[in-house]
Amino acid sequence: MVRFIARRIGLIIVTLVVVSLAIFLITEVLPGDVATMMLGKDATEAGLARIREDLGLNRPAHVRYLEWIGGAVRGDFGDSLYMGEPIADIVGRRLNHSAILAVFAFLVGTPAAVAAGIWAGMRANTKLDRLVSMTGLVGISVPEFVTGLLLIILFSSTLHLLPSSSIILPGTTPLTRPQILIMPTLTITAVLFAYIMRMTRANVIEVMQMDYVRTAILKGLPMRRVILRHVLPNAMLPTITVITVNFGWMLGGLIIVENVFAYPGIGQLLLWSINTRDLPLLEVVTLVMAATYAISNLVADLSYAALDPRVRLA
Amino acid sequence: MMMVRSGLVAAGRSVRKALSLMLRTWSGRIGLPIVLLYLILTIIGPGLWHWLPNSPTEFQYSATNITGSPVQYERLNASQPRVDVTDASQFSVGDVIRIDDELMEVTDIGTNTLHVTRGYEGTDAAAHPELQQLLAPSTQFWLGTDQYGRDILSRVLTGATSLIMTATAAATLSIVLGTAVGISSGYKGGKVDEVVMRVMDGLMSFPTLLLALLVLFALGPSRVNIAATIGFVSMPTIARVVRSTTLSLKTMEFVQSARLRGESTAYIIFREILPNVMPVIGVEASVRLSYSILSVASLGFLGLGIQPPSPDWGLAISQGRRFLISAPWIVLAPMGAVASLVIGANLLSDGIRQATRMIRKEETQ
Repeated sequence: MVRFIARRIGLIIVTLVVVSLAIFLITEVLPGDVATMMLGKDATEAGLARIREDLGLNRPAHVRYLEWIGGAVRGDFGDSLYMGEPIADIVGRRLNHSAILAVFAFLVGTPAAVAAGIWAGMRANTKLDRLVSMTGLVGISVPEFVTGLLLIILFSSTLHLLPSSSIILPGTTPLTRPQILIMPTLTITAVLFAYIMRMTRANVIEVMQMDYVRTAILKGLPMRRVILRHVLPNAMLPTITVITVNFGWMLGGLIIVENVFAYPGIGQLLLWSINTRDLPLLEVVTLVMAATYAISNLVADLSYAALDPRVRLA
Repeated sequence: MMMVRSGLVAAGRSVRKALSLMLRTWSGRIGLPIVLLYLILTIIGPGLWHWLPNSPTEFQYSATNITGSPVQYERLNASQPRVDVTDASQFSVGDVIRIDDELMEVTDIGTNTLHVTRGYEGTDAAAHPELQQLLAPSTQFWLGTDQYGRDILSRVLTGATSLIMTATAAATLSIVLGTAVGISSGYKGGKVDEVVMRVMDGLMSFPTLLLALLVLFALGPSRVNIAATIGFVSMPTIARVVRSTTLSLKTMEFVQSARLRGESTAYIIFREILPNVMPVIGVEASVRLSYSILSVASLGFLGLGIQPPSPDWGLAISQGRRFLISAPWIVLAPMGAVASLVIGANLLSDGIRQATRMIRKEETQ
């Protein structure tokens, strides 16, 4: 077990190093350097030279990369080109905002989806079940930006109940004004709910046909007990994988949802750094997102192994 | 080449069977017509461009005949001195028409175009006729006009082409690449397989939208880049599925006997393995297609999609949301289009999945 975790953490580190190299290379092969990107086409030669000097761009690429990595290991990612603030601070704050949103979405979406999945799975192939499955399929299909904008049209511009954009004043957290979390959470939940519900339903149907479930029913156990003790634990295993896989999807979904609601999280920061060509910031944001994704995958495998005694990690 | 063809013919037979089974499911019955409708739009899209009453890219202006009789609708081409009218026969060369505050002289007449000289008789040539911006749906503009005064209906209809073409190209690329990598890696086995699969794992250990955003940031957004990026990014999923199917097929008797007969590797791969991997690829292909549509639309929404002035649903939604309160129709039409397309594609893939399950059940019985 310890060996498994150690190997996986090693693998994550390798991935991150490759990612950092790749991003660094992307910024190297881009037409024009950071200085021309920052100043635009009308830049003067003197201005370019000054920025190259300031950023140390006139030194060889591998020196800059090693320096950057060296700083990153010590937690010093340098300053953002545009915000003039340490990148570690900006990213930390934005990551916190996104994490609050993600946790909210999971807390709302998962229990409801699992319950609905069990409910539908127990009634497999009835009309109600088909309705629930169909709704789930539609939920998966509708893009986040469509769901989000429909919610804004409904709750903001028609009913005037919720703010359409998420302003977080400096020094406060999203929890200071929790109403800004409602619509982004609902948008993420719509897709999340559909995925987890469909998976749970499929697993419940499969487990219900198992011999041990039939035995449990036939020996006269109350249905509640059969579901809680026999069906649920077995049906939950693949579901947990789906939940954690969805965490990775959510990172992508967050980019869009945060954009729709102008929510100042890590996804907005990514788009912002792409649009302003703030490359030092872009590098760190990408690394942080890749790391989050890799760690959530590891947690998925570990929780799977912890729940299923048949899975032995070596 | 013969081998490839006969392999594909065998695969085609199973596709036809899956199609008829799929139409027995509700998902397939609803999904297939929706997808077909959009496919037709895709194919006739470029032709539609000329046939539509309102052009998808040109700005709409209101205009009246100088004689005072209002004309049903006209369009002043922004760059060329040309006015489009429903019926050009009521005009003749030398007529002076008024387009809002600007007077123009008709110099030539087409079937429904008037060539004009602007700046007639000292009128202010710079005075622009009124742009038909943010008009609510009407008989003239069925879905209204957008913030630039363009007809939304024609933009939504012609927008299908670029989205579906790009998404289909991306899905095809991912399937071809994934199948090639999956079959060869699984069939070859050993060290090669190990290395290839680790690379696939590495690619998958990165959120796809993030990867796509970065690549497009580096390469710049264009249709080819978008298709290539999404295709490449989603290739590992298919490679994995195809590889595991190949691994189990490899041990089957019919493959073993083909090997003992001394058939070539190409024969075994194209005649024995490929037709049997086909159902798996079919399911994956439909999932990939709806996923690609979603990705291309999302990238468009984030501003890294097909560049203006070509109509793009994602971009239209992204740019139109500033007018969400005053003119919600700007976003509602493309939103409905993209949502119904992805729902249709997902229903279709659900139908295909159910059909392959039915085939498998038949085979085991």
